[in-house]
Amino acid sequence: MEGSYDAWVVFVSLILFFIAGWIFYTKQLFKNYEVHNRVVQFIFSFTFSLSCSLFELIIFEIADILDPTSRQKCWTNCLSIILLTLVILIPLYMAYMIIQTIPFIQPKLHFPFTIFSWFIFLYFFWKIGDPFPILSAKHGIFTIEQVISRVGVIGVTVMAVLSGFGAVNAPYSYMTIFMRPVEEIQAQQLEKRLKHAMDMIVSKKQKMARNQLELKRLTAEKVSQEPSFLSKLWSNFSENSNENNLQSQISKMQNEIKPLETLSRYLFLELVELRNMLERVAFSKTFIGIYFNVLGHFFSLYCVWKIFISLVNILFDRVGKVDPVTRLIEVSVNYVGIDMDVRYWSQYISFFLVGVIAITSVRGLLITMAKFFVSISNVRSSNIIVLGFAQIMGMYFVSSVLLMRMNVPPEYRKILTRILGDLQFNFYHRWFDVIFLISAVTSIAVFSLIRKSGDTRFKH
Amino acid sequence: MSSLDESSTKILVLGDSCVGKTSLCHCIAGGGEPPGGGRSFDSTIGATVVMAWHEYRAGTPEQRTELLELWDIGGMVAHRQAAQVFFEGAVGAILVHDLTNKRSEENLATWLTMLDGKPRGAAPKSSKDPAAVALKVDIESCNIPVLIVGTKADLVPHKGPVSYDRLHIDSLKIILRGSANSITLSRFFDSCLDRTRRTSLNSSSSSFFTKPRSMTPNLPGASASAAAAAANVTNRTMSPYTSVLMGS
Repeated sequence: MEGSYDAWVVFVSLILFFIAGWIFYTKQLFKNYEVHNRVVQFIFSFTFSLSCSLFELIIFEIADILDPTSRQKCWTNCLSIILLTLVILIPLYMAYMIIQTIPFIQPKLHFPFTIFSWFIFLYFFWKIGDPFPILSAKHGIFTIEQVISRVGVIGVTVMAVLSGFGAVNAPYSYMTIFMRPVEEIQAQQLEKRLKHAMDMIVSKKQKMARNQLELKRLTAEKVSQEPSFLSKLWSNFSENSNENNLQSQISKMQNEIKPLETLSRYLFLELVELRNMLERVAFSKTFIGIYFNVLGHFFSLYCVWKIFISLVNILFDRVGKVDPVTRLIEVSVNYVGIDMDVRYWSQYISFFLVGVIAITSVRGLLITMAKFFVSISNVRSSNIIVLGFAQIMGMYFVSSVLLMRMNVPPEYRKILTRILGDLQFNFYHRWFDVIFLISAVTSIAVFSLIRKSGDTRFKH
Repeated sequence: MSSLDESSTKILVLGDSCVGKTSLCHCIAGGGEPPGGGRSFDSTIGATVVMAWHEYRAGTPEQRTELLELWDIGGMVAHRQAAQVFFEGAVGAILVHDLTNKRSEENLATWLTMLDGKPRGAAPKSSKDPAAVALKVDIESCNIPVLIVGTKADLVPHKGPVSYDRLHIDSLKIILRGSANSITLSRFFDSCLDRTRRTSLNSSSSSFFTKPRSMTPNLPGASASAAAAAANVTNRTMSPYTSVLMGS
């Protein structure tokens, strides 16, 4: 009786998350297109609901809701299903869709090719585990631990890259000292240059069109007339040269038009960037813009601190031993002098902390995904891109569960260790710090390069 | 019988990204393979100009061959605001939507707003009723002639008959002369050409007509200089970003 009630609760929450993922798909990701392929939508919502239920189960563990044995069963089931999806279902379907778009493969070869490329994927997936001190084969080949360790590596890398980039990008876009001072007059000058280039293109194309029409008329005349022997001789010398003249003029103009078109595209892209910058400057003068600016200052301080801490962690080979919850309680008991029941408060605070982390990471990932998807996808590639997003989302959530261990007090750490199996958790934290640092430094280098090149272009 | 002027008429081709505007322009200009061989699917950045010949008022004594510039403007969302620099001086617009994608038809209202600045229902509530969508894309209120074209007609063969002022086209096939599509297209181009200065050889008045697609004979085209001097409403579009009126 107990078991079935718990199973029902988890099942209903799965359905709710599934519906939320479905709606997100239609309203946010695919707001510019029609959804033709329901299978992809199903896969996406399915992955989303499983990932959310991972977080939900952790919260249940900490808050001690539901019966422990059924919780354990739910955990293993959920984890195995999501790992199966990430390793088998999504790569298989993605390979199938990619192979469908390649034109020179015949339809009956689609299925064998798909299986073949899936095996290649599996091979590389396995090989990822080798250079890292994760697990040895004595733990068995097809166990959850092996798969989770590899999924964890990829997911932690993705998380660290995104965090590093986000840590640098957020202050850069919010704070006004990074914004270049541009004025409306520059945009107008650029527009004039663009219009001038387009006018030149148009006049050349006009001449070319008239030449082509004339050429067609001449060849038609030549064909329609019944040429006598003498006129044939005559035409060899005169009309021919006229046509050749036209033909050479046409090809000359085609060669002139090509660089002009490239120039017009380049000018247009610069105009787009200039208008973006103008909009950002205008936005930063509004109230919300000022608020973001101030927020950006605090956030940049936090990001600098994070970069510094990860550097320290790597250099001094230290992985954080004390989690924030216990530290907070320590500080409040020892320094501030509040008298608390440690056990009760630690459970409450860690439950709260895990909930906040879960919600913000889900929300952040969904918003980033929607923004990226709308900007880089078009009608043809949207399905493949969204499958890639589903894969990244699954790996992201699995590894954030992994990394969450560091944020909770020791007794809950034991629970997570028991659930996730015997992995080298310290390795993952170290790996996160390394990749985070590399990503942040690379982002800083890229942004300063872009800014320097932009400065030379816009200096008028 | 070629036109004596060196100028040509500017017509915009607008629509969302990947609806087939570039293929449509090549189809109108003469069909077949676009120059360079093969079909490339790259999105247009900025604007591409395709020249097309058109027989103005075919079959009447005033028949002339006119040259049209089809300005194929890239429809990517990030480039939309900057694309307004290309709108100046256009006498007609072709709005393109994808027959396999209903959202592209709803988004035509945004493009129409960009053309003449009149706000239309901004947030399209997804209504499946084609009449409701057609009302939103309200082209009668626009001050230049507008034609709505649906592309990729070969992918939706079950669509019913088309209203007289719209086209459903498969851009990979040429438009046969004498077919309903070609008649609608030439009517549209004629109405655009009617509004330019060069066709006003018999113009007696500079009055401005708001029914751009009526084919009354001796339609006096508004001479552009009078219109430019007279009204805020001109027969050419003005980009909101420049203050110089580029009538010609």
